[in-house]
Amino acid sequence: MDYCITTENLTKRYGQEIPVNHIHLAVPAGAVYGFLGPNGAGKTTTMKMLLGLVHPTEGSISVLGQNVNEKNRLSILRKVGSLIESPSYYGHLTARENLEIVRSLRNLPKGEIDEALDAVRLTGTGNKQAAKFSLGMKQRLGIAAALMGRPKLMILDEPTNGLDPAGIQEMRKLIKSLPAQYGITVMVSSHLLSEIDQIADYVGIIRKGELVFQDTLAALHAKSNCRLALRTSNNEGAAALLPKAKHAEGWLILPQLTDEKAAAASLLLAQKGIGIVRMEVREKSLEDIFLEMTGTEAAL
Amino acid sequence: MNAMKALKLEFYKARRKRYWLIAAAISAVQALWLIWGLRNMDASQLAQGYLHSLYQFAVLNSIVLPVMTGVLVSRMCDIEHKGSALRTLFTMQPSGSLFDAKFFCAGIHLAAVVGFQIATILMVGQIKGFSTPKPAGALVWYFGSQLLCSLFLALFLQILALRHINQFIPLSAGLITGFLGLMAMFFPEGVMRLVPSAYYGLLSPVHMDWNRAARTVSYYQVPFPIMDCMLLTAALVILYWFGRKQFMKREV
Repeated sequence: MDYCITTENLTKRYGQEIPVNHIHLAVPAGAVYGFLGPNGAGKTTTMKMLLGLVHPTEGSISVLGQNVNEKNRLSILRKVGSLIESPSYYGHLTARENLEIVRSLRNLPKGEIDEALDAVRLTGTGNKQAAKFSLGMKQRLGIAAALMGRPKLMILDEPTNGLDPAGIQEMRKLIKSLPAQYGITVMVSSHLLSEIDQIADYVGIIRKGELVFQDTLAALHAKSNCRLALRTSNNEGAAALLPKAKHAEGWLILPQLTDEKAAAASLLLAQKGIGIVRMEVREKSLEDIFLEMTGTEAAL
Repeated sequence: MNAMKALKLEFYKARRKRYWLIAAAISAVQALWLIWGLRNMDASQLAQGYLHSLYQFAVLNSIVLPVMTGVLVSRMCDIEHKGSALRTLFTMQPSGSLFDAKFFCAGIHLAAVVGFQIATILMVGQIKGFSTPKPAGALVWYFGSQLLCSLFLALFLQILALRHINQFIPLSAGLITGFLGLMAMFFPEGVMRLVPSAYYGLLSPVHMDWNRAARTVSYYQVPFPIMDCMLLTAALVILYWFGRKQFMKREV
């Protein structure tokens, strides 16, 4: 598999504090990679390190197949668009003038400005000063700037922050369309599990600076595997017969069983004179998984 | 990145900010001050017109230019802080090139102010009929020395303005430096050399002699203060190296 971003032991220390601790990121090419974690988990610091805005204390970063160092950083970043924390803009300049600065710095043709404005539906307001924009429009202007020059990779840090529900929907739609429409790999961070669930193909979960999960979204969903919960007339006796069963608040929890094995277990209990009072399928929600992994309140 | 392109971008970013307005206003006030000071001079006093003007402007500069530079530089740097623009710029432009471009941009404005002062002196000299020939050497020296002091202050204030989001800090530093410039004339020479704004006077080509008994003022040209000039130039180079390095190491 091709990766747009990989990191080895990426670490950032501020004195005793370690906001990012030996992270091994792997962002596959052509995908939307959701970078999920509660507030203060280290998402922004990690993304800033990828862009060279924060200097790593330890570890290495490879972006678009090249090891990033201070000498080649800007040439690599020519193919990377970014939006970190809040949109960057000059309030006294119009949207078009803001993009002109990006165009000039990236040596892009003039037509790129109209294309970028068009992509984020700001065409009609290109001559309005950015300070007079709503937060949603500023966010879209930030995305337009990141899209300039058709980057191969976009790094977006909580791009839906502060947007109204319609704006959030629109932003999600845009992010989701980027790989197919422009061939852009997207790394997008959020503290909202539901958001990542809707837009990402791959997910990395960070907790207190440590990457606790990294795989496809399908693999994360697979962690919510079914378990069988039993309440019997004699839980102690049933547990002795079913060694894999675990006690939980008056229930016996069995791992995921095939239909045949579930039938065999109930037959065994019946043969030993243990009656099944209740039997139900329990599924861990994605929120439960997130909660387990991050050890914090899941954000829905 | 091409230095000229970075400088052009600085001027592009300055659209609608009218940095030149503060420079123009200060220059106009200084010109009026000079004209007012010359209004009642007789022929013998006008014979010293050029030297009088150069001295007066140098003294005024030590008080006014630090404040003006503080306003100019803080406005130039504030646009980067206000919209968190550094986070995007640092992914596209070498931070050192941005630092240089801002410094050159401020330098051009300051050169225009000092240049306007010289143009004012020449114009007033023509109108009022200063009887001595134009002191070309002193005018060139004045331009260089006043610009050197202004560049040093601009650099110092730019480092503060880029480092701190709160622009009250560079503005206050400009005001304090201006105040020190005013007080520096009363300090011993050794102490004066520690005050950046005092160099407007120290490097000035013209000094003044006040004859208490006769209650007359005479102006005279001094030898080029090479040691002071070298001291300030060395301080400028060290400050530039340090400030640029700090800015390049900065995390945003």
